[in-house]
Amino acid sequence: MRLEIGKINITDIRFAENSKIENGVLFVNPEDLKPVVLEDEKLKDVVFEIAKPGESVRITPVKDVIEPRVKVEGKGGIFPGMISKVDTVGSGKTLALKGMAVVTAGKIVGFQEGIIDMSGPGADYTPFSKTINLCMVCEPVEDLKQHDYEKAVRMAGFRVAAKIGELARDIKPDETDVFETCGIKEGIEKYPDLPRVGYVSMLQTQGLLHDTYVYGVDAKKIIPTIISPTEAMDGAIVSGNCVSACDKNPTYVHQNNPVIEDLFAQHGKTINFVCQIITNENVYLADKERSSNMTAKLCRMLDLDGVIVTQEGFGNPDTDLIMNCKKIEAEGVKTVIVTDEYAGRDGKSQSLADADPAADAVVTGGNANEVIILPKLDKVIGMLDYVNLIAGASDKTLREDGSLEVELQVITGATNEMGFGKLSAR
Amino acid sequence: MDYTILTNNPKVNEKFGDSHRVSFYDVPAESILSIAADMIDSGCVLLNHPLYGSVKPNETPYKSLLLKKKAGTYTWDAVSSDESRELINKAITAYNKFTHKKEDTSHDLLLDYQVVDLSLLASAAEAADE
Repeated sequence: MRLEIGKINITDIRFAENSKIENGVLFVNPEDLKPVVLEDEKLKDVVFEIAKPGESVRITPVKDVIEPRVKVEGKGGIFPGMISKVDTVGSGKTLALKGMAVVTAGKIVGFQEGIIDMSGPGADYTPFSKTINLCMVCEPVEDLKQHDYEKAVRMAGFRVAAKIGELARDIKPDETDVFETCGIKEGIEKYPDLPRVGYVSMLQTQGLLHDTYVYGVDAKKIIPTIISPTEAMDGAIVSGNCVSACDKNPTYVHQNNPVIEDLFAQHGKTINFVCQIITNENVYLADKERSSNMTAKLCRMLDLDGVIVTQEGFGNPDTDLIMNCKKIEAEGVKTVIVTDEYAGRDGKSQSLADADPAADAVVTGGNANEVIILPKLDKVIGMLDYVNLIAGASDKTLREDGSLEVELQVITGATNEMGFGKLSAR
Repeated sequence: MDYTILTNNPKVNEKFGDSHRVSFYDVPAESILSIAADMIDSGCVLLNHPLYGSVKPNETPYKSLLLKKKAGTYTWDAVSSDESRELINKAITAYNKFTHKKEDTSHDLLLDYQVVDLSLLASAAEAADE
């Protein structure tokens, strides 16, 4: 499958009468976007705000981050199975608005997480302090249940991102990247001497507020399967996960998965990037056994020489990570696992909830328990009401001078387990 | 239903009390892990992972586990008693690691924790009932 991603660099976002993109500037009229959000009767109101890198702005509680795109050639649309027909994506041409993101925020449950600081020390830890963010804070109707609210905000974010992406339909991209996968036989013939490498991507699927969707399907209901990595790049996988800000994979990270991009960069040079295998992180132990068995079997059937395994979350998913690693290695396929650590505030505790000697090649995204002081910022988008309650915070988080004492856990993307951030550990 | 739901979450008791075998204890989450350890020692196995959820162990006061008697003829267990015990031990270690406990337990927040715990438990029970 051959996918072209045309990049349109967005250098500024401004509110204006007419929504359009001109010379890299996104002009947007919130009144054009409001109906797109409020067509869901579960949402009562929405407020749009713009947050730019370097501004004294804190966005919280962040739910998802999404890159606006438009599909201009080839099958399918934006976020197939969610807001477009379930055509197979991953080929043709898609235009992406680079340098910006749609950020959804709102109180879904009391401890729902996520802080993005646009300046100060916190900004260094989140990749989304470098994007110009169009933030949407959604207010639900009275007495809306948490899972309905989550779904409403999730879907509204996708619709807004698609609506903005549509503005780019006729714009010539600043640059275009091409990603191409081959069929199994074609790959063997084309690259007979290169090691066959796959990517095992573990999707968060534990339950309410911990879900991921593949072509609209709740991934806890799947058995592991093979997809073309270009499908993931083209919006086939989206996040429904609200929790664990530091190591969750927002939709933006699925769209811009750095493991896939790096594997493609080496494809045909040092490796033959064969495919992506998607699996889940269910809470039911028999599901864990089944999914890890299937994943290891697929690696063997595809005659892979090595795989990179990434996870999402902490605790329960560590068990899936180690099961995958152990069973894949037992099939004679080398693994590198990508994770983060909960090694205590002093960094001295056991990092993962599970371990095995087979896990001898590990990339870490950093220690999520590390403490950081976030100074008071001038403006809050969203609300600080819940900041004491999010994971990695405590009753002492909001200090008298308005600063926050928190663990890195609270910062969206700080210890991302696809290596989307810059953090590691010594 | 050949399993028991062990929980300290009143919402789980409310939802599953009539249809399932529920052992409800009004005790901290750590104590639920200890009770589960005792049940495993007397011949049960775990059906769900004790560190479910990305809600960190030092925050949610709730814990709900599915346990069943060890397999008999023509039945099977996903994990053995020994493996179940190991999972519980690791969970207890994880709980002890998170010493920085949260004091804030407002009514609304507790209800939110109950809802999420119920959802994660229901996800496991649904798989068990299939």
